Amino acid sequence: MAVTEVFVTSARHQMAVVRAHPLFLVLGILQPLALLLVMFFARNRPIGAQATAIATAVLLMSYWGATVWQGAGILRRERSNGTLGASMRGVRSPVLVLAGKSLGATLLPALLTAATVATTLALLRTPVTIAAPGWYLLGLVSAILSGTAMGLLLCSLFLLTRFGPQLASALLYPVFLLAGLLIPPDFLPPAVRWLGWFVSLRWAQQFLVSAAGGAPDLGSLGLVGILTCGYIIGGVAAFRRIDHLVRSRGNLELG
Amino acid sequence: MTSPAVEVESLSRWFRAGKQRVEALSRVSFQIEPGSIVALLGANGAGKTTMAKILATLLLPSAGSARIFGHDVVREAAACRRLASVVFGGERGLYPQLSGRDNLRFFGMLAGVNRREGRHRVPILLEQVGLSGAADRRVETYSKGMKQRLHIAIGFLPRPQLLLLDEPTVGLDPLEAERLRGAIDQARQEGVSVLLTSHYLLDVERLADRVLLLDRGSIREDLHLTDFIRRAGYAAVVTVRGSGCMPRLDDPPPGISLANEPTGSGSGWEVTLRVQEWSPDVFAQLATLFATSQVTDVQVREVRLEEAFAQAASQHSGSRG
Amino acid sequence: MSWAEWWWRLALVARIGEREHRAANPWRISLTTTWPRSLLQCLFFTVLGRVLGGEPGQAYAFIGSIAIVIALFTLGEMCDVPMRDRWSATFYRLRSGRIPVPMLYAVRAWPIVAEAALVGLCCTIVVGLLTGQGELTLQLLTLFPVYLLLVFTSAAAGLAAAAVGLFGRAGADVIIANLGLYLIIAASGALIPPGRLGWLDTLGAVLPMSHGLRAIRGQLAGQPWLIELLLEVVIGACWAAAGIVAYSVLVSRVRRTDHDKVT
Repeated sequence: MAVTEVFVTSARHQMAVVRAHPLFLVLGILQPLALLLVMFFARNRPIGAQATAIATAVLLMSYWGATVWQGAGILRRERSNGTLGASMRGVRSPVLVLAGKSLGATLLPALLTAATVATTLALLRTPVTIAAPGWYLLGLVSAILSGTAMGLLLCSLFLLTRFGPQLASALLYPVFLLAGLLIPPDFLPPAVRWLGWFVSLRWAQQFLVSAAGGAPDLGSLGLVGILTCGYIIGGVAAFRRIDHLVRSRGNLELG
Repeated sequence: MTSPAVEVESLSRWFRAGKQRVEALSRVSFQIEPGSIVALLGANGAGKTTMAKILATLLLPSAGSARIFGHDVVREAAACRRLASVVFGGERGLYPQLSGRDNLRFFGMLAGVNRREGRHRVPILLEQVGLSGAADRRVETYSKGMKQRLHIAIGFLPRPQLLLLDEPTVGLDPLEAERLRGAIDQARQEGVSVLLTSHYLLDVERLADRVLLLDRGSIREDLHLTDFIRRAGYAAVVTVRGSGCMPRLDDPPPGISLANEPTGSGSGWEVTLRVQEWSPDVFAQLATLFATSQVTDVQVREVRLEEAFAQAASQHSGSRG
Repeated sequence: MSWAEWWWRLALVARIGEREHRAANPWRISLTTTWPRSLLQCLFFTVLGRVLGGEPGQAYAFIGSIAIVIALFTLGEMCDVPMRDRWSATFYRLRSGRIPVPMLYAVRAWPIVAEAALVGLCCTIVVGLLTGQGELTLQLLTLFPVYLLLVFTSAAAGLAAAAVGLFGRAGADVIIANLGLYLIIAASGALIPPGRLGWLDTLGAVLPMSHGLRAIRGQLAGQPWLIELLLEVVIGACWAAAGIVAYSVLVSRVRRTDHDKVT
């Protein structure tokens, strides 16, 4: 079986798993809807470029939520289902399988979020202008790949503890605060602004907003790529560590 | 006059499965006298657990009535709950993140055990079921057998007058199972009535006074244990082994029949016979049957409950065509 | 049963509730992940308020954010209290026990209620100071009893909502818990002032916390606030009544349908 086929099959499998549990409805509909209502009705109604930036930010925030809740929990759920052994001991590369699953876990919520944002904006009669749609799409794809890589890293880390859900929820707001999505970095104390440099979503937001404005910031896109590579390296290393622990301890009860 | 421990009259229970109606119990009637142990036998899906749930007031019947010591399970559920205790067993039904002691205390309290009694009886029951050493460990660390023993302790804690035991020895090793049977027997001697469902016929053989055979929601047999065992049609099985020529068994004497065709290999043979009823003549008849044979070994065993159950089950499945 | 007997039983239920809660949320996890998450969430929405509306926006959002972090516990985590019985298949024991199920769950939920109050208090102090709102923080501390009322009213709503998901489809509890939380964020006036979206205000009128937040803001602005406070009490009582009815109906229904999967 070719590498792509393994990857795609794993992604499709995980999409089916995600579809079977209603959490993706929360991530894809409730969360973005609530955020959009707050952003559009709390104060003066944004229009034009501001509306586009907000819509993009909500898209990325919901995607991060999906990465943390769906993507990062893959291995933990496999352990509780008793299928982790099969996943790690199969003929196919377990890292490749996991990467496919990580993509599949977040793709459905991401698509649903996009639909929710588009529908809400249409109902609010707030048009969004995207001057360079090709670049914008590339930016979205980069963000998704980056989220997949981050999911791979978090998966393994969450397997080491039984308190994965608590850890997952703790990861949401640091990124929401630091990544410059709805809160510009200027609003943060200078001492903590630099932390946002390591969050790929920050650069993705910057690139997407610039692409929407017609002047894509390729430097930001490059940074998304570099950070994604870093997440992949970290993710593979963490997964290999898990694999070693499983073999040396002889069981999958890791936490 | 004391009310029966259990009085079930034309009890039915059906469920909806889509557009279909599935009848789990159909016009079931029986009684259990106080201080007796009645076994409810039946294949998987026969309705045994449904019956236990109705008597435990966990499930309402669709038609008919059931009473626990005269109290109706529908209208007087609270009174029934004070008198009866149910043990479903299995891996679930316990809080896994709490200790065995916490589970026992909590469920005992819910079942009506007061503080003083709980303080006194919890350690005793933990000791009786062999969980004293593990009492303060989380239940999720328990083996299957330990969880089953904890379920049993929970069942016994409120000192019920009626015990509903659904597969109580599942997961227990032979020693633990024997210990549990001892505890159930002890409870019977103290006047507790028991309705026991089990696939382990050894439990039934050792404990039950009476057997109810449930088949597809209906009671097919309601007999005392000895009478039920006689349904097999014979009292004992005799296995005779010998060497030399195979004995001729074309015409066994009345009261003795061939269980299966005699088997033989080069040096020996084996014959299995069924004895319908013991009498002094049987020995003489067997001696006559093998008078000209070289018998090397004779083994005699009583008929087993499994054989009676198999006979009864096949008779009822045969009668359905 | 005598009063002393009742007291002992409820105390045992409370003790079990605490042990269950701590087993799932040990202190080291609460202090290193759950509580910091609440602080950061409160901070996020407060700073977002400043982004949207300057200092007045920040003050508005800060008052509402405290309610949101309380709701994270009282609506978000409250579902776990009855759901544990579904996961462990122990509901049949509870519904055939001596203590009514609604009372059992209300008492068992006390650690979540206590934690919600504590976290709310921490957020008031920490986020208030971090965002340079010292004076407002002091005012909110004197009004903290109103936030305590919000803890109870939202807890009542959380438990009532949890009944719906208890034996529903798998994952129904997740939907319900999150729906409650996002409704508070969007419709209770926590972040969006009343008068912006009519249907949102109508929805908010029956939610816990809406009237309590108006009472707090009213008091701070020197306006009448007692009516809103009373309305909050009434709404909380209605949710509590709804919870009692919901669990009673559930127990009755399960007794008819055998849906609590005893075996």
